[in-house]
Amino acid sequence: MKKRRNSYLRTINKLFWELDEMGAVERLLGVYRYPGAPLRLIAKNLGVSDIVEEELPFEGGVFYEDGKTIIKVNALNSIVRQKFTLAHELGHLIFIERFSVVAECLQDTQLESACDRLAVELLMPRQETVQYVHALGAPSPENLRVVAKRFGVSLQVAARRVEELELWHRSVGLWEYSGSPRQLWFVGKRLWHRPPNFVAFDLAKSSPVSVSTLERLPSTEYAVGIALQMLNLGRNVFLGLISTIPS
Amino acid sequence: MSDQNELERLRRQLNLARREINQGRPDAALEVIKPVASAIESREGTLEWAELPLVIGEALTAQNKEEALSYLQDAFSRSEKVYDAPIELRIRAHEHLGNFHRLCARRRSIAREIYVTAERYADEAGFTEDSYRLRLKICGIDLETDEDTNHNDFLTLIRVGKREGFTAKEQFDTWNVHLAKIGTFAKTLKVARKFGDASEKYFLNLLNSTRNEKKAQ
Repeated sequence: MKKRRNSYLRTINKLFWELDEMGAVERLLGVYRYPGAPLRLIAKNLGVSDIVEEELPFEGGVFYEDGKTIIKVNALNSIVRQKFTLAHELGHLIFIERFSVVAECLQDTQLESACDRLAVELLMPRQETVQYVHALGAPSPENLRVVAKRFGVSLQVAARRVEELELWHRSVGLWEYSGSPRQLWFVGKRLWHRPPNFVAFDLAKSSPVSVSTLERLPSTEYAVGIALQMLNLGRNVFLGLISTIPS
Repeated sequence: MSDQNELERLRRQLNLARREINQGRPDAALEVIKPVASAIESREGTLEWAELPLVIGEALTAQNKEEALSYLQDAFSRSEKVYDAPIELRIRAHEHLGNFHRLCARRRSIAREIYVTAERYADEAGFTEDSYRLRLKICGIDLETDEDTNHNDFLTLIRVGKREGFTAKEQFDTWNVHLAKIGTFAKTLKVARKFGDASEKYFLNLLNSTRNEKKAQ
């Protein structure tokens, strides 16, 4: 099935006569930031009076109170999640300022997804990410953690960004493992329906650094085997990088 | 064995079966009932005789089986026949028939009507906790029927409330506090991320603060 393009992102493409979606988003945000600009400063430039942490029944939002624009983020979430939410809400304000786009309802999934795209570019600017990841060296779970820490994002956001920028050519997964694996998230090409019981889990369990294994998948049409790099993050959570070994 | 002792034994078996159902083991409940079923059946007019089809119906509802309906209807009519039957039995018969229509037969409007009747019985008898438990069920049906954006939040609240041992009244009060908060937000909120996806932690904090506020009053 053909994937429907996001109409909000298409609007940005049209504005800059840019076919590349990432390039158009980059150009749009170039108006609002300079390298290294903190999110709070971008918020101020967009007319935000205050950023408030509060226990909320949702991730965060933009509020208009007494003529002031306030962004609230959920204090119950981790710092990286709060930061992503802040960037996402800035995306909304940019859509409002630039395109007069206001959500018609609270669950406009296309707009939400477009604001996520803007948030990713705000937190992990394309050029900066490419340069940083290239300078970092070979792909590894440890290096993915370095990338996430450097940009102040979750491992999942970092993995997605590295994948969409085609920097590592690896799939990345996070699993909970205590005898059998439970997938928490996965980025990249899936080669199985249920995560197999990789040998790497047991090896990584007692290793302070990531372990590398070559493993055979139970049945797959894509590859005869995979190369795995697995790192134990503690509390039975494992981060793995996967590349296929074609037959 | 005297008849009184025998009746007590049968009562114990029925209670044991109910415990098994409440602990999510309807198969075990039916096993417990099987050897005493005929003995109970022969005691027409007793409370145990009225309760037998109710327990079987509860177990079958938990197993998502259509046969539950005939047992529950039987329990319904038997509860009318027992002399001076406790109102609790009538409430239970209604509630479980409602559960059957909601969970097995997927007839929400019928389930709602039955819950409303059960709630009225509970209110009249002053069974506060039963009344609030039924109100929560009615509220859940309404949200589901309306495809309300708050339905997911409601399910999260009920899950946390049950797991952490909050009473139905506390859960109901907390839901109203939550709705009031949402109402306040709605006045100034322009856009929100993941609306209708409140976390368990949020509801646990809200349940605790609602409980503490009620205690302080």
